[in-house]
Amino acid sequence: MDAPAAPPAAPANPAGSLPTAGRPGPLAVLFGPVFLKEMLVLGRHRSTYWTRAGFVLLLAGVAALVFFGATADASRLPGASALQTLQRVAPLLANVLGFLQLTAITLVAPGLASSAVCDEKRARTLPTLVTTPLSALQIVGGKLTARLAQLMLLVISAAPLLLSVRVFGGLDAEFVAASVALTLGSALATAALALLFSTWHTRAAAAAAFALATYGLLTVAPFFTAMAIGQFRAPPPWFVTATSPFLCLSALLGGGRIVVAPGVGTTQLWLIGAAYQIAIGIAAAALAAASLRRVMLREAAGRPDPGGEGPAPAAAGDGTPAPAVPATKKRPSSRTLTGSPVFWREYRRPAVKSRTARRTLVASVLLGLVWLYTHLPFHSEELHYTVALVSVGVLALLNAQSAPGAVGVEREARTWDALLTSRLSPASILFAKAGAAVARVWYIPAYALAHFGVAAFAGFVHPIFFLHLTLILFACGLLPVCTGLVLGLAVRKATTASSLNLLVLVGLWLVFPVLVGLMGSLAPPAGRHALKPLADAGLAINPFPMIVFALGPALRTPSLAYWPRYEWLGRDDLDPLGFSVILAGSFGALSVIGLVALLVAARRFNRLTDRPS
Amino acid sequence: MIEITDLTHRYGSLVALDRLTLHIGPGEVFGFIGPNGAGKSTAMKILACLLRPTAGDARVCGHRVHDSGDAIRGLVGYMPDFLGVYEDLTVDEYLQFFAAAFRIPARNGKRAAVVDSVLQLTDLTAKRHAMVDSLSRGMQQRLGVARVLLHEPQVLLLDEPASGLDPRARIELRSLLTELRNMGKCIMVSSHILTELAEMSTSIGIIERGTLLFAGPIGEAFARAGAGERIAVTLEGGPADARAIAADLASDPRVRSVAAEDRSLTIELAPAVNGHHFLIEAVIARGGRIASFTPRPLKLEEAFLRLTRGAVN
Repeated sequence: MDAPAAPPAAPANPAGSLPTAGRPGPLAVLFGPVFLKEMLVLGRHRSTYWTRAGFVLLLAGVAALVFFGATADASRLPGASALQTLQRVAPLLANVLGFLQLTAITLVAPGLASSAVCDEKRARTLPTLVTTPLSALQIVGGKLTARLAQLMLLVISAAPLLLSVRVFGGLDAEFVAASVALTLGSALATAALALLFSTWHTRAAAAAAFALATYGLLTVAPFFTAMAIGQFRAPPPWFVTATSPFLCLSALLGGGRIVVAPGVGTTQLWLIGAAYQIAIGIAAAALAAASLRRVMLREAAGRPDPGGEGPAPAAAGDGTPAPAVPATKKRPSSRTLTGSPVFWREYRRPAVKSRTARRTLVASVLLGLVWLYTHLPFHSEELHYTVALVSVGVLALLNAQSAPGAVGVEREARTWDALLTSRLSPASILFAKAGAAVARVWYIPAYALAHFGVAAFAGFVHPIFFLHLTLILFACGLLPVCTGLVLGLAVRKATTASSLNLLVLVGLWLVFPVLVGLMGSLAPPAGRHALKPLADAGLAINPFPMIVFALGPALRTPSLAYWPRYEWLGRDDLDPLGFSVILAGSFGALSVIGLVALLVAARRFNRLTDRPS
Repeated sequence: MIEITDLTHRYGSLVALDRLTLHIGPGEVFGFIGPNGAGKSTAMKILACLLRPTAGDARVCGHRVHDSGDAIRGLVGYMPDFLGVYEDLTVDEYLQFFAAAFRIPARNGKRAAVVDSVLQLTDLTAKRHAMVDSLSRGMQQRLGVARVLLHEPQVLLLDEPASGLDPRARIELRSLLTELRNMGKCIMVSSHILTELAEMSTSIGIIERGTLLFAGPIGEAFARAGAGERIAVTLEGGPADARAIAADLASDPRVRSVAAEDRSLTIELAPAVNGHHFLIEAVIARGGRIASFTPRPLKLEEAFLRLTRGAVN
């Protein structure tokens, strides 16, 4: 009997192509070896457990605050009223937890996914992956699914809290379903975007920042654009509202059955909103797979290897010339260092390394500004509000994201040890980094102040707003830098520190006032009275309402011949001096808190960095 | 210059350094040898004031690492095993940065002169305006050496400085270290390439699982390891002759071991046995005809292998 014919030898992979082993099924794509490896690695990271514990503690803490705030005086009320108070707590708690969960997951997901490919690039393991039969889609799918599993665990860990709310009364099932669907959709979208940027960047912190910025563009920008087109007078079309998970969830709070547009109810709105998030996630993941394929091929072919002394890649056997290894990059001359070395270097550190990305970013911002100034007349209040609010928001966000990287990126690039063996004192390192981080974004305050300088000169805004805006911009630029540097020192990973820093700002300027407001609205008069100082303080340190308080009178009384009168805490005739003192006090306090935190970090620098002295 | 007494460092439950005691004097090049994870880098990081020891005492030029960090940083040049470089600076800017960080004043062109001199010393002048992230590994290592020399430190702590260097760069590094030793600097250098360490070190320390197994001159290491001189003898006769002679030599107390392979004998003398004449006499007395007789110098690898057990943390 003849021996069976040997199967034909598998054709060698042609040069420059990835090995493939047939088309993998969906399960192999999502739960293949990459998924298992990622789960193992994530399971070994202590930060995974800290994140889970922190997430549950945050939700529990907020829930406890809301509950105790809302029921503080319930025991002194007659039985029926006390019961009514408790019943009102249930939907409130569910709403707060829903929004908080959505916010936290949206911020955590990019931090978790941004290192997915960056770490492989740094460890130089991508060429090893090329030699396996894994496809780029399997790698992206596995990495994404592993991170989504972690995020789902976070969402599930909050479930007992939501379920416990049922004890106090009715819970809107649709709100819970919408909250979970939108949260998971948002997690998929932000994680996939972070993975996409992770293939394009070498630094995880940069990938996370770009992912968040892109997500903001995809979910917030359409709403504001539509509002600006309608000159902030007409609500935007329903499909624009559906792009933002926060707006979808807010629509549900209005009683559950609001008709958003003819034939479109809130249910359809959040369903379409969740579908939009999932679509973003799938598109980003597909793009990430396509990008990763190119990145892997480039790495396998021998990318420019600044760290390797190895020989140049040999020519392929078929005569294909070896990819050229570029020569050392040179500049015609070197700059001369002046002043503090840390400030000098930090100030020149490019926020975006790629020249193309930098040009694209600048062009986009310029286009946006041109669009804004051509659509809104210069005398319109909406234009001035937009400029002031967006400038402050962007400044705070940029600094919150980039400041922790000033330490974290040095740690990841392993330049931190070299710096710590120099004779620079901790204070000189930290304060120089803080100063440089504030100075690096000079163009935002410069633009905002130039805008209002022209507006004041043209007689549209009272010049005193110039002073008020300066105070707010200074504090909003400094505080996130100081907290970011402290977190960058305390937390090893730059992305984690950035996410935590963003959470600090979100907590201070969004969660805190919302909580106090909700607690106040539920509390009986005595409790409301007790909460008032807290609410006032929360308002005074919040730049967004304070801009509204400061800009409104300045727009209504633009003439230098009169002084604007300000509204503040029920009074409507506060003079400019009094209001300026309040602003200087509250935002000065924020700046001082930031500087004190930095000073404490400088004093405890050796303990934080494990230096003996 | 370096005095370490009962130095202990733990990472959680892992003992990275276990009561390390060591003294290194001026002008000494101390080769620190040990397997990966033995505790070499931990000891160097403590001396560079980058790591707080769990217990024990470490002093550099009389200054305790516990409380004299600033003074020590002025005296020590530490080069980590992996040199991280700032991506967006040229070689000149990178060195200017660290010169400023070491408080070298820019007045009267002093900083520029210092940068010039270290660039010349490390042969990097031609790369002065090159971006540091585009330098090859060897060039980056040179830049690392240039950086630690900026403030003229008395003590150099070099963690694996030769890793990733090509043969030419290694030879250059060796001559550079010899030059620095001649300048009276105390150098502590770790490397996996033991032949290099043997050539450039005046003394060595062998560490395993955080415990110092030996510290002292290289000759003493051989004696401690019980490693004797080796001689390769090739006979003109056949393998049977070689085996017979090997069997006879094995009973000689001056011979530690004999291995016969084909017509060749590899003989290891007992420690502290000097002179080979008795071997020649013994071979001839047994009727052997010597084709070649080659004494082999002692190798640090042999002492290292004998003193360590290959255990890692």
